[in-house]
Amino acid sequence: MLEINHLFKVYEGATSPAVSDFNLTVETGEFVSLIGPTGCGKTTVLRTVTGLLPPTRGEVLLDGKLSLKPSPEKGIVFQMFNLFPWRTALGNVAYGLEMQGVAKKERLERAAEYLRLVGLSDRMKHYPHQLSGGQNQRVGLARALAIKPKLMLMDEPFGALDALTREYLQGMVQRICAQTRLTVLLVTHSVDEAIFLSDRIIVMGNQGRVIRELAVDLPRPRDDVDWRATDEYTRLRAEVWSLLKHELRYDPAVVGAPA
Amino acid sequence: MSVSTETPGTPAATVTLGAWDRMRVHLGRPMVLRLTSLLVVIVLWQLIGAGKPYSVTQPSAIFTAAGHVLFSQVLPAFGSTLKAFGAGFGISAALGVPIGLLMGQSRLAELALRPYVSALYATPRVALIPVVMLWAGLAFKLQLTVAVLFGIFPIILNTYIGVKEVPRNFTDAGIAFNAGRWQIIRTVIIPGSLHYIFAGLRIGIGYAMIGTVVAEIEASVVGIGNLMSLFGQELKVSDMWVPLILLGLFSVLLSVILKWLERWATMPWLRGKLTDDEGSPATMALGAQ
Repeated sequence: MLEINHLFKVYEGATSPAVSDFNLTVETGEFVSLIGPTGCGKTTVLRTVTGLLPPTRGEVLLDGKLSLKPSPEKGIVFQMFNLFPWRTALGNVAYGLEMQGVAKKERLERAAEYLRLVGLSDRMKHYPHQLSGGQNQRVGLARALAIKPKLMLMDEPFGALDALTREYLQGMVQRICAQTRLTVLLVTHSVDEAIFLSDRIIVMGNQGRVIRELAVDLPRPRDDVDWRATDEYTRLRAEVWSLLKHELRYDPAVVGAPA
Repeated sequence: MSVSTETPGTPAATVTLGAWDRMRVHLGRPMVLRLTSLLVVIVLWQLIGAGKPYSVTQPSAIFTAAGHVLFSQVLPAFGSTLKAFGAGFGISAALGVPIGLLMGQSRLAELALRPYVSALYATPRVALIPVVMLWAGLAFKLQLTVAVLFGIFPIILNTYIGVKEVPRNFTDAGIAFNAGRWQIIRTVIIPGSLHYIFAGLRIGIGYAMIGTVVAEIEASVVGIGNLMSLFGQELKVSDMWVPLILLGLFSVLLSVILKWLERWATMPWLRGKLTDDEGSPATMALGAQ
């Protein structure tokens, strides 16, 4: 279980906080998405939970223990993949294990196993520049899974990918999360992605305000049915959009009202 | 009307190139072009230098001079130069890379060292030779010190810039996957700045060579630069060219070796060669794996 209590963050030189009193609890095995406009502080929350950013105030608890530093219990998938170009797919996936001191033979076996899981067993010796964006993010996903984390953190993981690849990878993530019973915190800009993957959606506004929490009551696996045709999907999408529309302050006369 | 037919088994008529065409094909090759250009220069020099043994001299005279002085004087002097240059570059690399890494990694080291590095890099280091002479003497210690003074700064600065330029994405990934400070340096900072480090080494190796020879010409009583000064004072122009050509050839060889080394260390991920190992060939090249 992940608990974020009274998280408060002011960046150096900033006049107002990026996140002010953010609170969230994610149950074990639950998939929660943070959605909100650019600059609302959702990435700040995720980076703090990862341990890449010290909070000004507040605490992050993982299974009741304070967790403000990176740890093998937390795996992260970055938006820009952040793979090392000087390592092969296999070397990248083995990286987290290497840092934990896992013996070479074992970490390579485990890395190969996770590359198989994401369908890249024939690309193990390839370097990132030899792989497509989607393949690279599968390597990124395997790297995070390979350390067998309790908590998976995903920072707009499909934001840099084309629409078709995105849907394919969303299906893959849903399948893997269902199999491994992972606890996941996802940051996204995509309403569809949040609905498709989440058990719960947190709609955020400026300075990390939680505008609303929405439970997603759609049966899984969601890609087996035409989930976009369900009433629940239509209702959720309309609700998230109406909340975001208010936050974004788009001029309806210019952009038109979103569906 | 006749239709030409080919019987199976009979080879089709091959086009034979004329002598001129064949020569043109060969002339287009880079090596042939280089040799031809060299030949032209030598012939022109031979013609222009006729009757001017004390200024322009001639390739044939240099060749004869080489027979007299190469083994007796030039190579021993070159040995002295090489020793100082090798040690000087070795020290420059061995100190320069860690200092650059330290400056890039530690704010304290950056603030403390950067003014000196920048000032010394900008100062014409030839001006330091009279100062160095006072305590290093006129032989090996002088050559060595000046070689280091010339060679170390480009290595420090390039490494330092390389470290600063390592994308935040890479260090983030290292930190997020639990790398400690040393692990970050070994697995992220060094491979991530390797092309800068190599650029520094390439510039540094040339500068160390320049430094050694300049010290010898300016002040030293040993080495190939000193020998050239001596030949010059005696107006032995052809003799002077022997060490000069040797130096030129040696410098070309050095830069070829370093380029090859750089390719070997950074190629797989820059050009997409596949290797059998998981890790970075770069860190292995540096003996860090």
